[in-house]
Amino acid sequence: MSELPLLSIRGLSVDFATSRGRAHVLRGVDLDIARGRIVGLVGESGSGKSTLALAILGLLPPNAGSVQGAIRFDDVDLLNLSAESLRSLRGRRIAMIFQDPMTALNPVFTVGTHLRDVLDAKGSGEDASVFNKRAIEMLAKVGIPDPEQRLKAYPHELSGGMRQRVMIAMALLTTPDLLIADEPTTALDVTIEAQIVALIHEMRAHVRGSILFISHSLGLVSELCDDVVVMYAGVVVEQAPSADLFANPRHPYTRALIDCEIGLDDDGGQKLRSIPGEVLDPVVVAPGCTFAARCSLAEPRCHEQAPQFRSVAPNHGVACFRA
Amino acid sequence: MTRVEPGPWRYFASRVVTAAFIVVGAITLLFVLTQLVRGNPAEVLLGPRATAEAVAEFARRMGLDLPVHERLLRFFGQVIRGDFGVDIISGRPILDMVLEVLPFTLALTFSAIGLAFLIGVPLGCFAATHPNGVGDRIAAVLSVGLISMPSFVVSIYLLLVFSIWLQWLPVLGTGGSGGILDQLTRLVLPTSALAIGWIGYVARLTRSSMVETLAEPYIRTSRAYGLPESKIIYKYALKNACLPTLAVLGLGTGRLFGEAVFAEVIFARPGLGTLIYTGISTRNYPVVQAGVFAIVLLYAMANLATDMAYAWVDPRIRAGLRGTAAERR
Amino acid sequence: MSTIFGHIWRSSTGKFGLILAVAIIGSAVFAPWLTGDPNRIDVLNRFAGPSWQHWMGTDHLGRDLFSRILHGARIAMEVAAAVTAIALSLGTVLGVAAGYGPRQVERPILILFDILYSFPNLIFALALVAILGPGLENVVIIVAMTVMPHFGRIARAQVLRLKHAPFLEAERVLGASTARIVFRHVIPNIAGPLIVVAGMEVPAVITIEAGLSFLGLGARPPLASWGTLLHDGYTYLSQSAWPVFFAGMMLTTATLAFTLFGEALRDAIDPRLRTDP
Repeated sequence: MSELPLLSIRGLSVDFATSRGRAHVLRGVDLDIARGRIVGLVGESGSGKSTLALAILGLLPPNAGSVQGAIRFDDVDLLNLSAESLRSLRGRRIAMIFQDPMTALNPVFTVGTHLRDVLDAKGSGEDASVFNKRAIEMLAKVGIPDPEQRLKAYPHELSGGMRQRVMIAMALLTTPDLLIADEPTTALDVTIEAQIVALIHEMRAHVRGSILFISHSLGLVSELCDDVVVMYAGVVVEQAPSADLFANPRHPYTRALIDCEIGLDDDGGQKLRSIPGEVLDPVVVAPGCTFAARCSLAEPRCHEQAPQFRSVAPNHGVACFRA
Repeated sequence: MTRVEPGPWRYFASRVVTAAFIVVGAITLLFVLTQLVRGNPAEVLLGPRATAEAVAEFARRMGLDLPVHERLLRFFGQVIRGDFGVDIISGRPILDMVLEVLPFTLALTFSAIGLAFLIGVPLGCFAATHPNGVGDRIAAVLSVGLISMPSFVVSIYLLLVFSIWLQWLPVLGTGGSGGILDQLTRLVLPTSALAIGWIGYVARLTRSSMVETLAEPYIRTSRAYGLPESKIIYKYALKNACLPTLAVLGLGTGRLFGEAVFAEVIFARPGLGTLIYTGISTRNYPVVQAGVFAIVLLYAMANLATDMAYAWVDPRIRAGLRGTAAERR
Repeated sequence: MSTIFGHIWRSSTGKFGLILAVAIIGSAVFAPWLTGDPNRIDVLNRFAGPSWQHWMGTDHLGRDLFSRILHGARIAMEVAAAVTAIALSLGTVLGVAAGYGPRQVERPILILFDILYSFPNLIFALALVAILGPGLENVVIIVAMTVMPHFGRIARAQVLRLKHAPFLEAERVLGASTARIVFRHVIPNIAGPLIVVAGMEVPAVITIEAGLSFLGLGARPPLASWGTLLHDGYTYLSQSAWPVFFAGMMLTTATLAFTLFGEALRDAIDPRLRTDP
């Protein structure tokens, strides 16, 4: 990889002020997204995936206290950018699809208004009739039947799957360099999930940039992504190309995750498995590996010293002493 | 029974029924009030200056010799026809007296509520987008203070300052003969007196619902797509945030018809309030009754209009998916 | 009880409201000992400005304004107390009956609430005064009728919420009478929200009383209500601004104090009742 990555995150830490004290939601995240790749970000809920996405966009909620580290996007440090320059990046070069399409669209505006205003904010200098035409084309492209009529529909008149298609249409209209999809199928039925995944797969052809696909499901990520990043309790524990990660998972947490999802027992039947123990309380600051308390391979030094992220194979990195 | 599908027509019909319900209730209540009178109602209600013939005529009008339910029906018939009888003092039909002063009250009330919204909404937006700033704090203290000052106190203070100390504005009366400009100048003080408390109320309401709206996920979506902040606030957030404010519009207009009584009396303006007030002080009940009914009718119409505006802003209400304005109060 | 007080005391606006409200109630109770006769006429001293002798000056008959304003607090507090007592008890009875009773009972009560509620209350008061005639007793009855539905609706809503609570079901299974359930369990459980409503209604009651008295429909001369003080002051506005100024300020302060106190009380007892900012 001689080329500079599109997005490069180094040592990103984010704290939130809570009633119980400072919650360390991200504890020094390193992450690279290469150009034109689809990167899957996997972890349990509470591992800091959504916070990472919002930090990239500069949309952390007001109770996010200190934000440290660096987020370089094409040689621009996003953390030191003025609010106005950051705004002009959003909706032009970076777009995001949110988790819950039920609440992510404004209930009192039509689909058409949402799409036209995205085009307007992009500042392409065209007029409303062109906007309408492009919005209709895009709705058709994301598989919404009868797009002219849907332009006049309000979000509540659409099903969850249709709303998520509208969100995807909004994102694609911006032709972004980086598209962040934050668990875009979590709030949907299984059948709809499959359709949306298929759509995103298809959309790959239309997005010339990179995609950061956030999910709690390794299976989904393996279908879609070129690279996979595994996060645990605010830290990246393993990063590798998809095939490599599944064939040869190095971090005990990654292995546990794969076991949970595949969950085949000796008789070949499916069995529900879970990782024993609970996710590290973000308010607690403990030395050592964040996963040590739940890790079956943990040895004394795992509780005392945090393992460094190191390369174990080409493009395959892991943060574990035992890997 | 066929179930009516939720939708705009069903919503509209249910709001009209509610308005009709208020009016029917009001007429019944006005009727019940006349039943509370001890002694000969015709004599008591017409007051001391009624002649024997007038009393006899009024007793015939009320149908005092009929059973109660027939009297009620008769009363309904009269009210619906707009037949409130003849004023015993001036000898004019009472309906004419009401219609003559109605425009003055409407002008006063609507300009007050309009002013309250024109100033209160931007003030609330400003406070919400600059939370805990100096302006926000000043606005918070000021609005609580202003809400606490009854409109008749504001009226007297304004009268004192502008007409007695500064002698700036000709304030009393409506300036009916002096042309439109004179009429408007004389509207300034009573309108301000009525509006000031509501400005504070509307600003407070707008602020809190704006703060709530700005934390909604769909606002984050707008931000994620790089929409200009002004567009996010004044288009995407305000349309959601103004819903509770719209809900108080109906309530506010209704209360303002009541508060207008004070402004009209203090600034010596003709209007429904003055009509009712004079009616009470001269013990001329039929006039009071007609004035009160007119206000209730206006109130019901204002409520209906609010419900319609509400549905116009929020498509979910049109679809019958969410509660009405009244339920959000 | 001490926790409620502590909660109010911790909020700065609540503390401010509480102190002012206690001061106003105190001056209402002790007015006769704090000042002289509010009705003593001194025609040589008409329209006097504030002085050591007359802290707030005198009115058109030379009566001491400070004394009249303190005695006005008395009327305001008496009316507020009487109205709240009537509206609270009547509203609770009707509301509990509507919530606990059969449909034939519930229906007419709800319709009554709706009608009373949908009338602009001042207009309703004017219509009633026209029939019953002016006077403080009538004001109390009228205002009590206009605020009663608030209590009734809250009481009913609370009863509906409680009606199927497991501990009440248990009482019923054990054979407790309806009366016992209502008085031992329902009433104590709905008392909190009702007290909150009572606190929130006080400013409105004070304002309506003053308003009706201002129009000459409430307290009758020479009784010193803040409303009649404002009325007299308004009549002689060109001679002296002091009566109007002090009476208006006093009325505003009282409304403000009880509003802040009421809000703090609500937040302390039951923040769910918060309907507007």
